[in-house]
Amino acid sequence: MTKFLFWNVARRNLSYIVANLATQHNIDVILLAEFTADPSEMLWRLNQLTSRPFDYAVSIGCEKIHVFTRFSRRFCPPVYETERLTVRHLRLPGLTDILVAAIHFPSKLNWNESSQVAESVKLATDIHHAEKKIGHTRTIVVGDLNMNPFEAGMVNANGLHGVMTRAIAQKGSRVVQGERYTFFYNPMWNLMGSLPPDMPGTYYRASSEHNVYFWNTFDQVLVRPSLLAHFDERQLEILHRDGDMLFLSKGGIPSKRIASDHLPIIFQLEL
Amino acid sequence: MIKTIDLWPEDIATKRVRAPITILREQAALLGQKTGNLVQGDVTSNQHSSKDYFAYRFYIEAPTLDNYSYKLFSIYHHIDFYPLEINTEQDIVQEVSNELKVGQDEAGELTIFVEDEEEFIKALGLIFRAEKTMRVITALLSQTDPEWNYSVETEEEEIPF
Repeated sequence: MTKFLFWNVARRNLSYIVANLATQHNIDVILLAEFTADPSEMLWRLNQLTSRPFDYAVSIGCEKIHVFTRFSRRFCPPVYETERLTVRHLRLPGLTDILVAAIHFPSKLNWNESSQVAESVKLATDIHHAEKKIGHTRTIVVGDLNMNPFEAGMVNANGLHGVMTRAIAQKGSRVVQGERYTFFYNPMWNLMGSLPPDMPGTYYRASSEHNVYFWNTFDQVLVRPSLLAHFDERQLEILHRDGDMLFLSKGGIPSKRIASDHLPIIFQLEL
Repeated sequence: MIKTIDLWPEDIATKRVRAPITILREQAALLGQKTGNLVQGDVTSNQHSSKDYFAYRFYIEAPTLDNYSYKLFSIYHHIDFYPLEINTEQDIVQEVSNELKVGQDEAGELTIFVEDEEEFIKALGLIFRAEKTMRVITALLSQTDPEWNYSVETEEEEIPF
């Protein structure tokens, strides 16, 4: 089982907490957005707590996502990158190789919905380009998408085309106006809302406007149909503590004073 | 017999304008020549080009480094080539904004606008010399140089805490 952790750490040095999470959950691949700490400190913290040492799988062109792996970085090289996206070809010996597309998508603080929709089309093109280079579509997309699963950029066929059920995703693709678009399965739909013990989302924002969701699920993982057999959404979690420390304020929302204003997600793939 | 009158201009077949895609492909090839093909350029048509709207992407690639590819910029133009938009990393746009016309595209992203071939060539030169571009190429060259041993462990630093 290969386990993944993604966290937008909000430019805070959370190396100690990330290392705790990696140990507690036996994480193999750590993907961090807004990571501004020293990677060598992160590595030192990770390797203090484990007998299986981590490596820093450095990106070349993408400065928005940092990747640490519990195996040599040679098994997770970047094969395609843009400013905000790093696509890694994960090839562990004897296991199914996949593409891991990690993204920090532009924020709603700077971009409106139309802009995000336009950009999601470019992101879909980038992913398609990487898949064409490698020659398969065994791809997961993970990151801070800065969109909820139901927003147009996540749902549109020419965007990320994320659907809410396996059954739909298993159809593979659909044709819209003469063009075929491959699905992603978006398991994050299962995690939205307030049914305990899970968190209602990964990011909280309140405002005085009419249209406010309060809880958002910006941090997501999406899975191509060809990887559905390797993915169990029951193992997908939004974490709100690391065992010792709660990441939430007294009001129950992610706190940047404690950790980050985003909550981390973990998931796994049977490769 | 009525004589046919040729109404076409005399110089119709001699006027040549270089398509932006041609200029891009030339530059892509030159990158390979300069680096012994360790790092190359590649240009592809964006799958969202339409009948009268053309879009291309310029990549920096390292064929011997897991065929690594980095999207440096995209260009967009209509059938008459110019004016043309160049969409690249915001850091690069900021760096060149003093020398080129920069504005917001339909998505609100900072974009470089060029009016003619001369401005396009100038813009390309500035993008290719930009700090980020050089960082990517340098990183790729250092990793693809046959003298560079990928498996060499870095010297351990004494951790002060």
